[in-house]
Parts: sequence; C-alpha cells; structure tokens
Amino acid sequence: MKWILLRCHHQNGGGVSLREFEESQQSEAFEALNEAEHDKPDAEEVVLFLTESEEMLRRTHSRYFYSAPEIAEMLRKNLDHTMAEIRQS
Amino acid sequence: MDALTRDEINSLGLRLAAAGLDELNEVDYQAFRTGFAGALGEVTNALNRCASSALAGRRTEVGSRIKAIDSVVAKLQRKETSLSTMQDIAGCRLTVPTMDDLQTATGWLHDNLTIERTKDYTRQGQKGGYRAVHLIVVTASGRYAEIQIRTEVQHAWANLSEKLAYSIDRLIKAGGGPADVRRRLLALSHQGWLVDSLMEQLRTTRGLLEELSYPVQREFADARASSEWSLLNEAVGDFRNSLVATDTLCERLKDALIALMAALRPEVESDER
Repeated sequence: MKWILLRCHHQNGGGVSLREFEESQQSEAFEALNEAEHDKPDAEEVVLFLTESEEMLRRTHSRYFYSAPEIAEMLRKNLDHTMAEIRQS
Repeated sequence: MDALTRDEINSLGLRLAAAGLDELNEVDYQAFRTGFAGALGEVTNALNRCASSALAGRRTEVGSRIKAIDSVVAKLQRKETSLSTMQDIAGCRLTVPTMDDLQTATGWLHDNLTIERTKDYTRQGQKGGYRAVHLIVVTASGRYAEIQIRTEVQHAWANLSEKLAYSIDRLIKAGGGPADVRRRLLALSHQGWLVDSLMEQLRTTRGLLEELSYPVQREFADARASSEWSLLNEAVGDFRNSLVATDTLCERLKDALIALMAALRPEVESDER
C-alpha cells in the first residue's frame, strides 16, 4: 500500500500523481498534502489516497482521471468480462 | 483521541464553513485531519483482507482517500453535518462485479469490523439514483471511517453522476439539477439495477444447476432409462434454457445502459465548452 497525492481538474479529471509515499510515511504524505493545498488553483482538487497502486486508483476513483465516455467504456468491458465468466460455467 | 475537544472541533468546522482553509484555522484543521491516517489504513487493510479471502478469485478493487478540503468545506456549508460528526473524512471503497459479491463483502465486514451503521441504497436508490452499501465503521482509535461497497455498474453510475455534477450543476449529486439530466440519471440507475439483479439471478441459477447436475449424474448414471433420471434431466434442461434466456436479456439491458450513457455525452461536452 502507498499514499498517492493527486491533483486533478474538477470537471475534466486528468489526474496527475504529484508524490508517492510508502504506507509508513504518513507524516510526510500529510505534509505534502498540506503544502499542495496551498498552491492549487480553485478549479483544481488535491486529494491524498491510500491504495495499492496508481493503476488501482484509476479504477476505484475513475472520475479523477477519465471523461464520462471513457468511464462508460470501462463499464462495458467489465460487463463483457462478467457475462463471459457466467457463460463459461 | 483528539487534542481538540468536540466543541473545539465544531468551532473549527464553523470557521471552515465561513472562511475556508485560512491562516486562522489551517494548523488546527491539518492536525485534526492527520488523526484520520490510522483509521484509513486500518479499514483499507481490512478491505484488502476481505478481497483476498471472502472474495478470492473475484475482480475486486480497493482504494481509500482523505476527504479533500473543498469537499469538507462544501459539506459544512450545506450544513449536512458538523465537523465532529462528519463520518467520511476517512473514506474507503470496495468495488465488486455483482450483487452477490457485494452481499458477501458486507457480511464479511460486519463479522470483522465494528460497524456502527449500515445504509443499504442498492434496491431503493437515493433520491438522485445513487446505489451502494455504506458502512460506518468505528476504528480502533475511536474515529469514524466510511466504507462504500459498489457493484461495477453502481460504480460507473456514481462516477458518471459526479462528472455531470462538476460539469453541469453541483446539485445533481443530491438529486437536483436540470430535470432532463435528473430523469436520464434515474433511468440509468434503474437500468443498472436490472442488470445487477439479472446477473445475480444468473449466478444463483448457475449454482443451482451445478448442485442438481451432480446428484443426477451420480445417482442415475447407471439407470438412464429410469423415469427419475428423465425428470431430473428435464429439470436441468429447463435450468439451462432459463440461463440462456436470462443471459440474452442481460445483454440487451447492458446495451441499453451503454446507449443511455452515450446519450449523456453531448450534454457534458457542450457544457465543458
């Protein structure tokens, strides 16, 4: 598990990982969050996550990264996968 | 648990609501927020244990966050809660493929964590159409954390709804906003619920089929001409037909869901321009 400090645009997503810390480095992670909040423009959001990887974060918190059509496409793939699993049995 | 008393935390909340994160409240708020790091770690690790044990082999996703200051201030300004009783400063999320996975996860978490409150919005969604199970956990440090458990369909709907809220009208998050968007989101939510329900039914049917098939084959393999074997074999055939029919219906609903999502695209894009 690691802390990931992310910056993104409220509307457009486009999340960018600013810093990453090991789970044990929580003080450093929160300090980085405090600093990043100071500098951010109003239209942007800075969020601190605890997750396995950025790839996992892109799935659990998709809105910070993707547009609505991209989210729909991800769902289509997931549903196809689930249906294939059921059909295979 | 906190260096600040409950009254001091609520006073800090009032200052945040009035002025945002300014130099008068910054140090207090940062200290208060850092106190949730342990709660977030504890619950996230529990979700990972749940995923690797109760949901082993299933496609699960776990991620957690400390609530962004903008969201904390907005919530305080909407007067939904005071700062001392805000339960989602530490927010954890588990997504799973189907409703039966969601029920398995909910059961495991009840058995392994101290759950103060369960809010089930799966069958009856919230006003705006949001569906999920929310668990309010009391952690070892005495702090609250919120767990959101969602199926992949519910998760996509929630993400889409948030995108629209930021693009069109923040009130969409609370079931408000333009009537046309509200109507479409509710229709999407209902379609999603049908897809989830059918997938659950498919998986249950599959389980029953497996249960029935085994004794039929074992008990009557040597007596295939018997009427019992014929009747049971017919029942298995019916199950198979139901499975195919439900599968087809589920495919149609999935297409409808995707089509509705695609229909929302122009509104998002035109607003962003």
